[in-house]
Amino acid sequence: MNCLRALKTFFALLALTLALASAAQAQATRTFISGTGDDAFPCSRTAPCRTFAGAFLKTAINGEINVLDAGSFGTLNITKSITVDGNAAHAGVLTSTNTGFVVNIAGGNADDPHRSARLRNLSINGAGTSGGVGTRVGIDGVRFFSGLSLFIENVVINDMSQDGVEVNGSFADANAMNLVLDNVQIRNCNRGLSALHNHFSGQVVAKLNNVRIHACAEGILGNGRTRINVRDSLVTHCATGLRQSGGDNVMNIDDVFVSYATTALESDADSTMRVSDTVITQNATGLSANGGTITSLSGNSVSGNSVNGAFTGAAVPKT
Amino acid sequence: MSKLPTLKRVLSAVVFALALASAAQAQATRTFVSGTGNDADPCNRTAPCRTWAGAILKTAVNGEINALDAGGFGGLNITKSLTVDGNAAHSSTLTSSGNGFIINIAAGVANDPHRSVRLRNLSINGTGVVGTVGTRIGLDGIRFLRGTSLFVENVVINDMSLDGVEVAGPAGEANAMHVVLDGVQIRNCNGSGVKMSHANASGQIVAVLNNVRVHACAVGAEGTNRTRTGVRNSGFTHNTTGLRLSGSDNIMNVDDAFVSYATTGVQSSAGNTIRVSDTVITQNATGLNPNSGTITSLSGNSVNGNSADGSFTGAAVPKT
Repeated sequence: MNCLRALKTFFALLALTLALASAAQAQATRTFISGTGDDAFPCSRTAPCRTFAGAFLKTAINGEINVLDAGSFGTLNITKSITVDGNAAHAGVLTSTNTGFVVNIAGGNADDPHRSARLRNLSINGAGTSGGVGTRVGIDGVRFFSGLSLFIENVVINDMSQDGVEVNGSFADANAMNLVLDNVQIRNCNRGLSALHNHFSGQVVAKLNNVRIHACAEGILGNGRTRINVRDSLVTHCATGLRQSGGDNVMNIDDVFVSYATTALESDADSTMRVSDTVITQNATGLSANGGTITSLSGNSVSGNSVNGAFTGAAVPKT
Repeated sequence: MSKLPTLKRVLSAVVFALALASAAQAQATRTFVSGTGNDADPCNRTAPCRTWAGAILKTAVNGEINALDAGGFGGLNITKSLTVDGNAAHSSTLTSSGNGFIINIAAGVANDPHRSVRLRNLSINGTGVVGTVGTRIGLDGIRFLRGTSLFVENVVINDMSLDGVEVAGPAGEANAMHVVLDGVQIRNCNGSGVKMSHANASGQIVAVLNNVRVHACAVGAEGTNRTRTGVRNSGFTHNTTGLRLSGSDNIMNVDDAFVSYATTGVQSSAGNTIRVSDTVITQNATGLNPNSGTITSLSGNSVNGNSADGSFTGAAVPKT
């Protein structure tokens, strides 16, 4: 009986201690997760959490979630500025039938003026699990709904039924959404990058550096109100390589290699592509200015396609 | 006394539950290997396996094997869609006298429609062990026999008695086999760094090599039958032949490559076409050898400082 009372007291104290600890660390600037962690823990270095979602709750606005070791850490709905960094562990996210990371940081929070998310060193995988084995059940790898800036660095995205990265700017937010992809590998999906801003005054402003997109239906799509720069990148084995549709798009393409597409570059009405130092080869059709403009800024090799197609107007010489 | 049977019942229930759990995890989507693991374990995060071959049995179609730490995890015969990722551990596969990874995924398996394999962050080493120390006893680093797509990323292959990566399309299947090598280092092989061929009259190998470095092999990269290869931002040095097409129905597009220290830098053959842009071909015995085939310049090349520079076929195609 004595023993029981002592045990009860012990647990009561333990619970109190944990509650205090969790209250104190409720919003740490840096939190940790591990394959052997537990979301009941404070997400500290010595007591890491188990999932991104668990750690997100205990990370301060604009803080950072670090991964301690290899593992699968679930999907995450990002509603405040934050950095998620897989570190050396190259942390896995198995999306199952969901989207890997949703970035949806609403405006108007005085404590979160920058509305900025950073995703680093991650592997986002939409491969089917039990019941869907062998199929692609993940929706998007990363979905950017609302926020001012999103940086995706050293990330692999695989097996999505929809897009590797989808930017779908909110109707409610007339801001420019800045997107930077650096050293990103996207394969086996519907669209590698799909960008659109729904607000009449909004715009998606994207920069892709060292991005490799393979085996998607469309590699890169500017789908309305976009400015996209692509540099030092590859788009191969996609049905359409780079495309603009929906109006008010500009894409600048420099030092890119596009192969094995039905159509390598396509620009629909009210959209402009500018292309320099780019190789477009081994496609069914190389260039299709489908009512829009594809301007050469010189230095391109468009050769060895079934139909090479033609740039719009004369090449602009280098200076 | 009355507590003991209860305990027994609880324990047996636990054992039963664990047995069920292990049956359920027989095909986990993500499995783990570790240098301190055991193939008798379920290959989960807390009880990892010891070898790739042990883990693949417990990995679902299109799932992923992760390495938890550095170690040698043996060769692997891949017969279903899969990702093998060495993670930060950069895990090593010592092939011994076999092949490192064989990809051989049969067509028509109902729950494996994509037939796609990803190999990432690996070191594949064919160097000789006891009795053959100092020799190359590994056969191929990676051997792609059947499947729809293979992605090899951030992989090092060393000391092969045959090829670094061999793609040998089957006579019995008229498919296109897609190959993407990205960030791959291949060195010290008696055969080719990358060797590709499809045996079916209607088949084709469709490959991209980006940021691939092949050194000290008999041939850097070659297509022998029914291949389309794009080479970009890559280096081929200290090989007997740098880039080569032979056999029939091959096209290779080379952009921004560096070819040096070869007996022959770039060599084509009758009926085959190599197109070259922004590429440096220097310090070879012979730079260009069309060899009755075609090597077209798409401009921007430096072919200079070879004992015999050789020449492109026809006039350079200007850039646009």
